[in-house]
Amino acid sequence: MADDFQRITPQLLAVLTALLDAPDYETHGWPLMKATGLGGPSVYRILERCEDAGLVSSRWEEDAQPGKPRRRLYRLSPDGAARARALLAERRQARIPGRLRAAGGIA
Amino acid sequence: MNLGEFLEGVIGGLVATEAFGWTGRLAQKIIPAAVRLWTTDTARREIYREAWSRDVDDCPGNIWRLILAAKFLSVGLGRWAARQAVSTTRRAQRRSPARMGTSEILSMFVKRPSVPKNFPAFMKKVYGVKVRPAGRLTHGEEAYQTKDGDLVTASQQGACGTSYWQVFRYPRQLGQEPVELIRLGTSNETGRFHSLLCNPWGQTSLAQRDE
Repeated sequence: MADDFQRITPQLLAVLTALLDAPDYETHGWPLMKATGLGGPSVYRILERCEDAGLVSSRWEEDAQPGKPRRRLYRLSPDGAARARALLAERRQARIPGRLRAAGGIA
Repeated sequence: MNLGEFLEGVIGGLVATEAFGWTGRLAQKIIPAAVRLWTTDTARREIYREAWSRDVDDCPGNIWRLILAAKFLSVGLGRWAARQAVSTTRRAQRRSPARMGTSEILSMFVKRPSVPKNFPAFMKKVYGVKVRPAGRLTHGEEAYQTKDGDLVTASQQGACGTSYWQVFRYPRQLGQEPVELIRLGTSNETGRFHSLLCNPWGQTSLAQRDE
């Protein structure tokens, strides 16, 4: 995953977490903004990167409300979900101080 | 409540409704412009035009809608400016691919600044993207240094793209790693330099002129 992304930012991790938490790993822009606390441009910039890296695919919603623009749904691919989980676990592990890890202080 | 207060309330309410309705409509008008600035990819433009309109629509409250649309526009403007700066450089490189003199590049950028003069100040000179190593400064140019010690120059007018380095805020959208710049001062002379020296008082600080 780190090969796909030159920079692993907290914003990227927040978006990946929100996508993992979404039902069926699928959601659209506004809930992502709410869940991550990021602005629209930041969310879409990250989604663009994820799409380019093949972690996320997108499609239009099927039951669009008449008279309203359609929502674009973003979904983590199965491979993307696995890699996002691995990345998040790796980051969590990196935050645990080495001494605590060695002493088995962290479950 | 007398009639005057009643009418004041009704008219005030109508004005407020109209004003807030107007901001909502303005937000929707901003989105197509923001999308055009955001990307040149036509497929993505089509997608974002509709998706962002819906996001703005989902946003509760007309003021927040306007703020969200303004954020898209602001970042779109930054990306557009970054594209302009890079395309200026590429044009310069195409014109003289084999060997291009530094003065030629400089004159090109000075004559044809890649962003308007009134480019927002907050977007200026935050990061640099290396386009070509610098070696020449003209009087009055601002001098920067990277952590690796490379020289970076930028014009005092502040428009990005006036130096051998493109200095702007959004290199990441172009897939380039930003380089943090340390401001050294303003050049007090014109010439080629192979290194910079900064005096401890942070005053004009250029030295070690090439012979």
